[in-house]
Amino acid sequence: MKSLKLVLLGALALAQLAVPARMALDQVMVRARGVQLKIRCAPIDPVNPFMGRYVRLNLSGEVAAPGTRPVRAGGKHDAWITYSLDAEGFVEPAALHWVRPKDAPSLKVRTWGSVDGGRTTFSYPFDRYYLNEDRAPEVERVITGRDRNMRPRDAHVTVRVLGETAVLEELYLDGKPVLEYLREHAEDAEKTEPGG
Amino acid sequence: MSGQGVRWLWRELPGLVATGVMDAETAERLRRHYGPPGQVFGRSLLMGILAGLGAACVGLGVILIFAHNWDSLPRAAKTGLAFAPLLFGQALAAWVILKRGDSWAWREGAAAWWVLSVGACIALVSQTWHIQGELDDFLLMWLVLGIPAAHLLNSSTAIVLALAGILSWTTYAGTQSTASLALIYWTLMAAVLPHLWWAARRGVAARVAVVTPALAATMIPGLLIILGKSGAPVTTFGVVSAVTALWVFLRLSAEKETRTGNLLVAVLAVTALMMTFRDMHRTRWFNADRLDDAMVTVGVCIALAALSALAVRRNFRLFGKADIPVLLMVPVTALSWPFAAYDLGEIPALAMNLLVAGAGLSWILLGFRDGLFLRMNAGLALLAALMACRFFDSDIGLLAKGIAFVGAGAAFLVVNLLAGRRTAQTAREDAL
Repeated sequence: MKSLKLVLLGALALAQLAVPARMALDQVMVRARGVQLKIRCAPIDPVNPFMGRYVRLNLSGEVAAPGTRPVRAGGKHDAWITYSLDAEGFVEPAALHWVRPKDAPSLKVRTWGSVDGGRTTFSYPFDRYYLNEDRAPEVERVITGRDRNMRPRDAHVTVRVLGETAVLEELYLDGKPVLEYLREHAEDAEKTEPGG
Repeated sequence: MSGQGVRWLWRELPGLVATGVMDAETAERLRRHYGPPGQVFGRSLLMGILAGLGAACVGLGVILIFAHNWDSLPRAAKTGLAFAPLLFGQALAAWVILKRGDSWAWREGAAAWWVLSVGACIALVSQTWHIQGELDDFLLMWLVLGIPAAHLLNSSTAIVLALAGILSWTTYAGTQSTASLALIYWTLMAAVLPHLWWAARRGVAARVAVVTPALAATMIPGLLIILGKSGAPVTTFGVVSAVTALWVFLRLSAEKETRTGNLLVAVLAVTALMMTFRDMHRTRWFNADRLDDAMVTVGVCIALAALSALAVRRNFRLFGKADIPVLLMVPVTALSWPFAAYDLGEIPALAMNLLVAGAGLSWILLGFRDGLFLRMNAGLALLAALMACRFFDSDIGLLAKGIAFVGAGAAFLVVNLLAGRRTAQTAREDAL
């Protein structure tokens, strides 16, 4: 009985380790081999008791869509957007597709499925950038402009795409990774403080 | 020795002394050594609960410490750290199976830690790599990987944690998405139930006492969420079938009335009082929204009701006259469906009024006959609640209500008079 329990425990332990390990490995793989894209965002700062504090990225947009999807009302659905890149290299959504287009690069998004005047709203499947619990409120303070000297002109994220998988890579404020931006501005604030 | 073993020993000792297998002194020494059965039961229950709670608190604390997100650590180190509590939990579980398999407290503590560390690992890997996803997907993954751990260590604490997880998943998925819930919900519930079955078969009353209320607390809101959009008759049928099945299971496993069982009867009584209103018997059965969920769940509830009926039939000696109104709840609630579909809600509402009144009266009379004041008071409270419901019921005319109340009041006074006479007569007989 004990040996059977130990065999079952071994199998369960492997499954329990494999799931998060696979999650991490997928991220490593896409980050190493995926194509990098930039998407503009407008972050705010909430908290999750299991995963800690994060910056909510508010990555959503409006795009042309072929027609309302015949599904139950009220639910969010997967869809794909084709896109182009603007002069600064940011993603410009071109059209929404209910099935993944094979002839053009696309990104998986979430949509409510209803189309109004040939257009629909969607959200990118990356809405959280996790940060140290002290840093996340700092980012919100900076972005909402409560500290005017530190308010960035631009906030965007980079994502990596490999096949159907897209992973969130980094949050940038004024072209700098968020932690670097906070560090630099904290140093600037320290330098200017003694002189008033 | 387990509480069951000590109970067996205490039952056997007088016979062993009488047949000369051991002398009275040895029997007394054994009694002192093992203590009374209730004491062992209480002590082991307390130790198990404390160990489970302790491990759960430490586990949750570790999750929060990791959730702080130490940005001074490189990503690889954070990923490694995310796996550390899970690896420790798995190693601890293996050690407990090998060395401390007979200790309830160790099993409870190790299982609580192990189950929590599974969730912590997934959450922390997600945090470290900014992996996106919905809370219901995270909870589902945690439950699928965590429930087997609870069974491997036979841990009631871990099962209660899993039930809390199932309730959280149902609440989140039921309110945030329109996807079908019923199949996954019942699969998860079925995955938890073997623990209760095992505890009842082994006669471990403490585990049954801990898990059953948690199961009821998960099933009732779960059914309300899944069936809520299908209207009151269907929802009530689901809740009543599930609660009755649990009540029958408790009666069969304990072979007597239990506090948890009485609590379930109270839930049924409140449900019955709600269903005495005509307006509750309006159906939205043909509403297409979540129809598939309703059909699966109603199917499961019909199966539960059938199983309960079969179990009652086979063990009829365990049920008394006072249980008859409780057993009638399922068929009377089921009446609501067909009548409500044709907008004939008066008939099931009247049937429910008669059932509640019958339950109240029979409990008063049976309680009085058997000297069970709790039952008598329960009957009185039920009748009083029913009268209050009808007093405020706007569907009945004032004249009809007035006549009914005068009649009911007169009946009470007569019963009271007869009961008083009988008590006085009994007192006189006792004095002689």
